[in-house]
Amino acid sequence: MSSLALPVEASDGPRRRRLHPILVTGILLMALLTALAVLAPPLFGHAATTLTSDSRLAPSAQHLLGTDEFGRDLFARALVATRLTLVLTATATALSVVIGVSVGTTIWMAPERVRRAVLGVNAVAVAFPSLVLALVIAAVLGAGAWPATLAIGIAGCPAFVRLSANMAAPIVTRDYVSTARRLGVPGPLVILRHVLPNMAEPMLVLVASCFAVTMMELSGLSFVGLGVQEPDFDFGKLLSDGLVSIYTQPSQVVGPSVMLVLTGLAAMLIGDGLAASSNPRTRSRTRSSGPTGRLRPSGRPAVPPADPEATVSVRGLRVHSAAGVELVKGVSFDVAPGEVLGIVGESGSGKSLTAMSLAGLVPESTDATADALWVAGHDLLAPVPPAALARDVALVYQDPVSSFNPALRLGTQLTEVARTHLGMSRGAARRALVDRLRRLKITEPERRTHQHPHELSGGMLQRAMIASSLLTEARLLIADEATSALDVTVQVEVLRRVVAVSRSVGASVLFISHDLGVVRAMCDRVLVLYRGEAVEELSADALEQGRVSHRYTRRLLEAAEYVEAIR
Amino acid sequence: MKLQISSPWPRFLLVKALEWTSAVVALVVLTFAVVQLVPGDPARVIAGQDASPAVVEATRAQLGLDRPMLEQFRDYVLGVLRGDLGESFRTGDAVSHVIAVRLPYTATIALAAMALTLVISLTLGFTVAGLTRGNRNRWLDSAFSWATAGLQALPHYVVGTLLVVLFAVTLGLLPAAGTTGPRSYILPSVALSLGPICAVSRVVRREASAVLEQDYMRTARGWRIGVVKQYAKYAMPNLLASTLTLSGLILAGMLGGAIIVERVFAWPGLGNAVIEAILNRDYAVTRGVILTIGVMAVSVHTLIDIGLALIDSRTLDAEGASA
Amino acid sequence: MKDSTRRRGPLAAAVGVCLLLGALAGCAGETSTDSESGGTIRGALITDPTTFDPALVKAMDDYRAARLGFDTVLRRDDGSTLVGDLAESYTQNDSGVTLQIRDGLTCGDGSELTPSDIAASLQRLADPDTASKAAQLIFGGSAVTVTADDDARTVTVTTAKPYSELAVGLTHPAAGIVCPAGLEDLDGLAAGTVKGAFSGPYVLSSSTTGVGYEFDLRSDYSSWPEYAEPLEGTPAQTLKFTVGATDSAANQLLTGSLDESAVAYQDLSRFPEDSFTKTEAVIGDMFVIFNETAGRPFADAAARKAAAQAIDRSALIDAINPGATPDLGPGDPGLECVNTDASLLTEPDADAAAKVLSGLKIQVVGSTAPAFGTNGAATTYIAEELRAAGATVKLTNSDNATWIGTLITDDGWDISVLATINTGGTLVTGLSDVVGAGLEDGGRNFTRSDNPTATAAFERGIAATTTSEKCAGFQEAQAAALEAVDFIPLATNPQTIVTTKGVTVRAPGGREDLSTLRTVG
Repeated sequence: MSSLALPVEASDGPRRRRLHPILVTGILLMALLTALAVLAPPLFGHAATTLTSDSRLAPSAQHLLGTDEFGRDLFARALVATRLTLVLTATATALSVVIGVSVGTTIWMAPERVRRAVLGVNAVAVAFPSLVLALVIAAVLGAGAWPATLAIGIAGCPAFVRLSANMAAPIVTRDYVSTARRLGVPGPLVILRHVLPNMAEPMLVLVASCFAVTMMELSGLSFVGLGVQEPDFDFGKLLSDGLVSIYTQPSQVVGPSVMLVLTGLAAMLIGDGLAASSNPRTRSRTRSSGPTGRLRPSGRPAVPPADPEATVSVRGLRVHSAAGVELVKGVSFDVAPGEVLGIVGESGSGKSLTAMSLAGLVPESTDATADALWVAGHDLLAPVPPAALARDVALVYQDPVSSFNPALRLGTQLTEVARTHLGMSRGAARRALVDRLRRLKITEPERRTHQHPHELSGGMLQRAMIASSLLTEARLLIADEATSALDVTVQVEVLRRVVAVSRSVGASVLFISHDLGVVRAMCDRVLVLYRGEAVEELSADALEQGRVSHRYTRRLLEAAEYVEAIR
Repeated sequence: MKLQISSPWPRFLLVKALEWTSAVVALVVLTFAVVQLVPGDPARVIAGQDASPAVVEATRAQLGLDRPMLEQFRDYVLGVLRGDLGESFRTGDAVSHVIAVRLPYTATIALAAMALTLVISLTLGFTVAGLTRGNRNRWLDSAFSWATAGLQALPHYVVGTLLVVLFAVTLGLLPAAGTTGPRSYILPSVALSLGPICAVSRVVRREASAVLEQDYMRTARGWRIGVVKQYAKYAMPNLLASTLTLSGLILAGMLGGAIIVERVFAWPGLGNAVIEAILNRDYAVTRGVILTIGVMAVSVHTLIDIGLALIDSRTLDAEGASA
Repeated sequence: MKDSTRRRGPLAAAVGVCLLLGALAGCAGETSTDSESGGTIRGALITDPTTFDPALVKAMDDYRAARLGFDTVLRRDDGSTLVGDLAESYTQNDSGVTLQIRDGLTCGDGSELTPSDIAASLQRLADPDTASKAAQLIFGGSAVTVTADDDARTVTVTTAKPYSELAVGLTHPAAGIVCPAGLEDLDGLAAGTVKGAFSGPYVLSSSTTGVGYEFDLRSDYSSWPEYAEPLEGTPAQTLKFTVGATDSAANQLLTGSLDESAVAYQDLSRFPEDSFTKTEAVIGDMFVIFNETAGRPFADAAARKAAAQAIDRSALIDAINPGATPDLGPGDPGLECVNTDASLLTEPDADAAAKVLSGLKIQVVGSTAPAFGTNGAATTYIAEELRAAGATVKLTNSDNATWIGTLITDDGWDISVLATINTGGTLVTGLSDVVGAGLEDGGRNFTRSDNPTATAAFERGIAATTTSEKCAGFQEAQAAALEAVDFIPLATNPQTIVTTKGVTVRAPGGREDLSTLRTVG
């Protein structure tokens, strides 16, 4: 993944922390509501609370939303209610958050026994419907604004205890925290200095959505008659008062409904925006436009493959980022049947993009064009049946652990192509897989197919992935940094397997690596990529004898030799 | 699961059983204590505002409220052990009967709403996550955020009322309230699920976006299997644990939301029962219903924990060791 | 990825789910909710009846059920007149009432209902051990002896002290006659499961707590009350009541899933006159009460008068329920002996009120029950008016139970609004809430007023033997209480019963009575 993402990130320039548009909208909306909360009572308080004889009026220019049964202006009431709603909701939210986070973080400073007990009790409290809890508390405390706030606030605590305990768990085990504790820094101080700052961001997101939920629950209490009481009024009270007249005077519910939705929206958008801003995937705005992940003919006259028998024949492959930066600048090469071609280059050289384009998997956010692109007899510039491509081209990725789906058994994953595209039955595919696993010297092949990826080592996983390509008798095996994440000894073993496999089925191998030392040990031929261009093509012999001309290749070679020397 | 000698299962299940039991014991004590704290004299309420003091005292004796508190508590606990939750102060019906009648109504709409929530939010969340992958379709991203946030900010009772206005009163398609047949279950279930659908589809969308960025999804794409299969078979299972955890919370939320929704639809479920019982100071029914809801919540919680352990044995090891 | 079209799969699925839901709703909508055929009327109860034992009625729905299942000896008709029910005539004198019982009375199990059975039922109602809260209202509170003469078919109710309201009291739903089968099985009677207990037109045929109740018409029943204007149409074979539909009743009536229900005033305008009938009834009356306990601000008559001056009655009534009829006493204008002299009421005078009320600390308490307007509108209004007059006001609106809990204590409140349930239609119901012995002395007077004139006049009225004597006493009591501003009359607590086309209901004497439900046309 990282090798694919790198070029794109580079094109974005230095990362800057920008406010997400949704966050900006949310903050503006909330600022507006806060201003209303401050200004509305002095400006509209009189119209909102003074009894007049103009009761139950329909909307008019004088009373935009009409009047209630006491002749009070409903528009003014909706605006004035903003203050109490925000104050109560903020208070209840603060109650939940402060109590919840205090408990959730402090228990990590407490003995394990205490922590378990608290978390156990809390787990039950979380499972109990908070509105029922609030209902009971409100009934005990009596109806009213503050009892309702207290009830909702308390009812919201368990969720925050749990969330903050979960968030604090990885933080308290970090070295600097345990060091601070060993140095005798008091628990509360550790929490304040080390734990809280580290969970502030995700916590803020939760607080924002909790605010919206709290407001709704407060209004729910009003609806069942246990919330805010006269003479106080918040949105919930106005709404439940108005709801009885919804059919005869629908304007009564308009004001509070709109205000309630706006306030809820503001809080949620802030939450969404915060989450989006803190997430690198969605943070950047430059990647927003343009079709991506496509492979098209370049428009230049197609060049026929030099060797019609070649497994791969590429002419003029170019890859652009969505921002228009050219990442691969017209690469051309062939791979003969059974040949092992190495592509080397540093990060960002375009080697992975080249390999992925060959597999017909142009990454999201990039576009590829080529004069000609033949792979395993298929013209990738024209529509190719997915089944054929899946069967003929097999891929082995860099990180074996993350390339496998952690939730599924190995057998299921490794036989997917055989079952989906070759129409093999579940049983036949599994038997075949066991056979191939055995050929790759994987111990207990039967059991492996029933295991989950986390139960196997990285080297074993890579070999398993190779085994699955044997299953489909792929004609091209693309190994993208397939050994980089493995231990040196395991690397050798996997490499030997890759070569052996290709020899046994006559498949070609495209071997992508940044390590020239690894590449030259096994490749028939090596292509050196530098900044999106093929700067040199070397035979295994030339490489062995150090006959390289480009200074970049020389640097790679020196690095490889140095590494080999110190091994 | 095979039980081996070294299996963490017996210990795990024992711990869970202990947790469940202590939670239920706590609920029994709390439900008894908390109803006593609600202000207002049940005898006066049951007898009526115009009852003379003598009638009120007679009512108090009849309800057994003149006995010492400890004695009342002992009877309550003994009753619970026998499965007898006492008799309603108001109607004299056995509380267990009241619950047996009303629980199915709440359970039906809660489960229907839960099914709606899971199906729609998983579909919606995944679809939006898929369509906005790699920051494509940013308009959809924003529209989804706005729509779900806006709809979620509408309280249950407003949603319910609007549904009634539209589908019952204006269009005459569905019953406005009450339980007049299978069709009368539709509006309450929808009203109950709308908020959770918004909330859950946002979570699913967030989680799915993360899953779709994973390397193993690229692997699956490399196998060129259909998008639906990619999502359903390769992405969905990775959300199973969080979906299951979420389901417990949704169900708890549903039971809370039911209180409000049942009121809008004059639905004879537990929610209406508990509100009525609190207003009438019907201690027996209040305790009974809250205890029932509590035991249900605790049981669901326990079952989900066991389910999580079944899905992922790593949880089991961690839980067995620490819980 | 190249093929972007295939990624639409899940979206299509989502749309499909929505369509499916829509289709569900759509196809379900085709079978419309037509009213059930053949003599079934579907009505609504507020909540579960607490009991089917008429002697123990407590809440609105108990009264409704009692009227259906149990006949009284006498019934009220319009204009404060009494008509026969189980009895065909009666005579009242100093010592009590003698009733001439009809022939051919039967119980729900077909057995005969004799005058002795009726006497036993009434004697049981009067028994202090029965703890009927209506007994005092029905019999006046002194010792009661009920005797029967089966040959002469008479029942004689004798009270130790004269009670002028005795005959009226016997029309109270709580005075419904329970057949012997019911008296033998009191638990079954309360649960409504003893068929033989019923003396009225209907027997309870099925009940599901919290969901609904069904009553079936007795085929051998014929002792319908003899109203001056006979009821038209035929009684329904089955009455089906759903529970808890208060807030949604209007919608259910409009969409055709109910045939009869009381409807909140806010919804009345939704029912077109040509397809619905509205029948007006009265539940009881509302009035402002003061806490006159020594040391409280309203122990001072001047303060009470000022409060009365501060409150604009008509605006207050309008805020509670624009459909309510203003009262001049603690009962509605149709009641016997109620005050008719408007000049006894205090005129609004904001300036005068402010002089006295300014700086006074007043605790206003109220109930949020619907009778008091939306979310306690009544007390909200009073609190605002007193505040406008310069008083320091603390308003506490709470649910009925908490509110009543406050009222029965003599501190913690100064002013409130009381609503009576006057199903029996007697003036005493409201009057005894504001004059006579206080709650602490075994009476029902919430105000704890010290008003000897009013109390003496009230007791004279109670003990009177003629109507004119009775009314003289009650009217003097009302005048004295109004003079001292022990209470401020407000308005009726009206109840509008809406029925669909083809269904009628009457409110004899202004009180809802579901046994008058008929299908017509």
